Amino acid sequence: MTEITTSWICLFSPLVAVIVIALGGNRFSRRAAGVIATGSVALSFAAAVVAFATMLTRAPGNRSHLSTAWTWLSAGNLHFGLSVLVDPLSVFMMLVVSGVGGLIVLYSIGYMHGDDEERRYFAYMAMFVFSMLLLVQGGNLILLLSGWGLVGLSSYLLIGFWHERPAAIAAAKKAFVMNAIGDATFALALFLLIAKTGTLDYGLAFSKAHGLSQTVLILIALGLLGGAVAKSAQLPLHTWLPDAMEGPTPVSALIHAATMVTAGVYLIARTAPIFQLASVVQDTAAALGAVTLVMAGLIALVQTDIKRVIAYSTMSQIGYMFLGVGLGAYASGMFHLLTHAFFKALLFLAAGVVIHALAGEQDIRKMGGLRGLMPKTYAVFLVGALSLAGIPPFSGFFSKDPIIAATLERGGAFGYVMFVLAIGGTFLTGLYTFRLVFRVFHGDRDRFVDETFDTHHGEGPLVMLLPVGVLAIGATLAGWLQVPGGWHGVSSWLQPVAAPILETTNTQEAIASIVSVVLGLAGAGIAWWIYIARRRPAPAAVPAFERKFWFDELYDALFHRPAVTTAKVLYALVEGPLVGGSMAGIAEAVRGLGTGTGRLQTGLVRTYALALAASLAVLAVVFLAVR
Amino acid sequence: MLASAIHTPHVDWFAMSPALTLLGASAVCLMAAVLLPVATRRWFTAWVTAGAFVGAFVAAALLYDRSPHPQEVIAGAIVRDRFGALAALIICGAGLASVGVSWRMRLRAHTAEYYALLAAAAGGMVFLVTATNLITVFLALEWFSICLYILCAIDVDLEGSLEAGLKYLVVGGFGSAFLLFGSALVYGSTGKVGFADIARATAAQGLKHDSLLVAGLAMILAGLGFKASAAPFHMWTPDVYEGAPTPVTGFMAAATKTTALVLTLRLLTTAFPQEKQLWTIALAVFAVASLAIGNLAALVQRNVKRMLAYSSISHAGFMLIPIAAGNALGGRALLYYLIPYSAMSVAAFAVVAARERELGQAVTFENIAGLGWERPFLGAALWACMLGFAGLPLTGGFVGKFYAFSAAYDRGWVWLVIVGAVATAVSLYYYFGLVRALYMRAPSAVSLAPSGGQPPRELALQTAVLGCLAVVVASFFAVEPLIKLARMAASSLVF
Repeated sequence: MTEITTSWICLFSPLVAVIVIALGGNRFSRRAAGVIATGSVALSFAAAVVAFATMLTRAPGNRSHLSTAWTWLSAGNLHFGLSVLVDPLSVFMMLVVSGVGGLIVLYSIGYMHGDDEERRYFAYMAMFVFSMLLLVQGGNLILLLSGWGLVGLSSYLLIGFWHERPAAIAAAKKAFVMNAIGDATFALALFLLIAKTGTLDYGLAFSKAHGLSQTVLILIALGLLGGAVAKSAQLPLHTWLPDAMEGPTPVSALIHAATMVTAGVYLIARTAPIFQLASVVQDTAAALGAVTLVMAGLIALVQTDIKRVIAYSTMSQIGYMFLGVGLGAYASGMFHLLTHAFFKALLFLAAGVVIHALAGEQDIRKMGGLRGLMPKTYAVFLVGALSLAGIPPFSGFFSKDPIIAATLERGGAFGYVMFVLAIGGTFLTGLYTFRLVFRVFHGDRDRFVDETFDTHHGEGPLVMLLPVGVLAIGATLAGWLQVPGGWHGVSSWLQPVAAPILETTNTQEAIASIVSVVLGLAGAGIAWWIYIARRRPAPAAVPAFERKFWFDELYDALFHRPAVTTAKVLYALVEGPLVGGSMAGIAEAVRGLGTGTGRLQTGLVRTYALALAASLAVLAVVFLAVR
Repeated sequence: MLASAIHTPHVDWFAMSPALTLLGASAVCLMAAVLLPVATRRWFTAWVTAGAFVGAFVAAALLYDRSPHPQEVIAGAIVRDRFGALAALIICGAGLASVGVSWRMRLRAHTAEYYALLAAAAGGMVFLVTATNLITVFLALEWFSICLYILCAIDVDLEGSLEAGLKYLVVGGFGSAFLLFGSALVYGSTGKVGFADIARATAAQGLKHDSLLVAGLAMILAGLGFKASAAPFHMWTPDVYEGAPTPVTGFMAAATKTTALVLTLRLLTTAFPQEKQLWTIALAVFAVASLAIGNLAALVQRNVKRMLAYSSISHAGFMLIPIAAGNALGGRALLYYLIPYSAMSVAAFAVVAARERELGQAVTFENIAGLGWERPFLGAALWACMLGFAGLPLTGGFVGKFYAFSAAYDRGWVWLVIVGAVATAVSLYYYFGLVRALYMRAPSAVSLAPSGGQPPRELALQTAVLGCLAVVVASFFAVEPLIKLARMAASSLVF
């Protein structure tokens, strides 16, 4: 089979699972729904692997194919094809999405066991995987936008999965609204692109983009960036991600860590030609990423919910990816996306095991000393933490440092400011990561743990531990795909699609590596000093961090409250008397007309015959009169 | 060949094969009504009819494939072209689904007759969409109309069924008379009955705006408007749709409307190109009237079948818009729109039929409450149909409206587009009102069939609904392939 056939299989396999589970209803057992969903995603992964292997046998210049099933709609000169793009970048993402996705859906079988609505959960999960694959495989921007909207919908449905919890519903709405802002700017960018180039096909749009004025290009790029920022929870549209942790933990792992939130990074890499033409916007992306990574790191220091700490860490790590693709080091950004998918999914799933074992408790102040009770979970969590903190030889080390090196290569005031923020981030990462490790697994066991931990239950069933183990192996080894000064697996694979605009030297790599490892270890050391050695008491939380830099309050004051006030005023002055009155009048009139029309309907044949004859008479007379 | 040996005129039997297949099935069913024991009749005749629809469908598909250039058949009585073949495909599809919907219908001993009439009616329709002279038009029109009169009245136990049949017969007599009289006037003026001959004669003899011709055209328009249930010739529709057995209503809403609209397009563009100014404006007025009356009256209906009847009047309005546009895009738009529209109509009435059989009484907004929870599949299907009628995305109804409005826009009739958009907005009220009833009303008011217990599983009906649903959704995703079919079909006509 060619890579094109397998790509289609990869895309549609989860959709088939959605339809089967939805139509099957309770004819399937809950376990069967989980198995169907897992199997479909596993099939996707197998198809992606075959596509990847087939492409490896081809020359690098011959790895891009666009396969169009048919033209969906033609309007004027605009043709939208239902097509998939099979190229190194999309195959890279297919492998990440279906590979990590498959493991997480498998884990869900154990995690969601006993939930009332498991079938609905698995249908949503499979729908998410389909949407995400559509996003990365879509052969033109309209399909990318469709996938973009569908992942937003799946995310909304899954955050609010436990719909009896008001907090979950509120979080789902918040995520949807914040993402809708990004969707809107994304759509506006596409409208502008259609108006100016007349196409949404990648190749054609990119080649025509060269002829556009700088203003138009900046507007298009800004629109795309708005979508990317909202989806990837970067400043200033980041506030939804921590709240999204109300969803089930595997959802957080899959959607809000490994795949969907990295879609913004993919978008910038995919539309790189446009961003390169509007370099101001590309720099903006880098700057937003750098500021987000520091800010999220600071907030993560004071969070007490295990999932929220990891959520802020996700924002911070995506900040690194934005920094990478914003500087034009596309392969470095995508490489960090890959390793992050492994270690962050690992951390979430391991946290899920902890939460599962502690009957749903997420507050780290009630944990502590779990190392003895959960040795396997501790081991894998430590792997994830070391990887996140960028300690060699774990994967985060290999993928984070090229991004930091890229800031040095960029140079100038901009580059050095970015460098300082990025290495500041590594220090914070070490600190918050090991604060989490030490608070949860080391120290004295909280009384709460003794009361809730079920020793018979242990660390969870094999379906949960197996995916975690595989992810731990991935988090350990994935970094070796690309070793500075050695080989460049990811860069050379992505070279044909997203060629970097800057090349780092070995010296820069070495400086970046040494500085970031030293600072990461320093962060970990301070965490040890405070939480294990207890040389000094834990510092009081800084209010700015605790209140998440007041973004929620700011948006509340800037948008929500004025909107509510305006709405109230409008309701009192305009809606009630004017609109309400007139609409009621119109509705009444329309209903009256409806009733009147009905009254003509006497049910008597003679009326009908008369109406027919009269209508015909009028028609004939008019025809004869105007001919 | 025997035929050539005795010098009969050449007849292209293949061109008539869809109609002949259906007629043959009708004859077999009538035989079965006499020869087979009651117990096996339903099984046998339903399968024969379903097979005939499949056969006619395949024959029409082959005809479509093999008729790139229109050819006259039987001395210009009918034509073999892609336009007629595509219409036949839609009619046969609707008929096949109707067979499934009818499976559990209460028919006493008339099962075989029912299927015979269904097949014969479809045969007449398939014949009519290929008609190219006024005599054939009248012949085929009566052929399927008489079948439908009886079908409407066939359920003698159903209150209103006989009344519906009689009303349809009497008022339908009017409609047919208009058409026939109009044809006579046109013949009187031009001396021709063939569509193309009329146009040629009008041009050659300078008969443009001849008073006989124009009066004839007005009467023909009235007759066609009657069959398409377009306002102001629509008044029979709510009563007949409500009174007729529901599977028959579904078939009529889909197939009769397809036939009437397709014939309207062919007749007007082929026979009256010189009078285009007149008939395009007249049809635009019909469209506006249908949209206004259909939508306004639907707002206040509580009976679901009656609401759907008004909805079908308003859809006659939507589909007259592309005909009134009088351009090639309009022809394409009409043929495309008919595909999802027919599927939605059959499916919507099928769900109503299923509910009726459960409750043993007419379905209203009150007693359909909770269907979405009790019968999730049927509820979801009706929901999808309502979205389709309302013209929302993920259904072909969206694309149909888009193309219909595009055609009017191309013609320069922005006002007609605005009327259509306003009508769509009004229609959301009652379409969503039904969805709301399906899911959001307390099901306490529902009283299930007196026997209680689980309603019988209607595999045939559900399969038919599933097939229709697939068409409704697939027509959204396969727009361009279907538009391509429609474009090639509409190119048989000269605009």
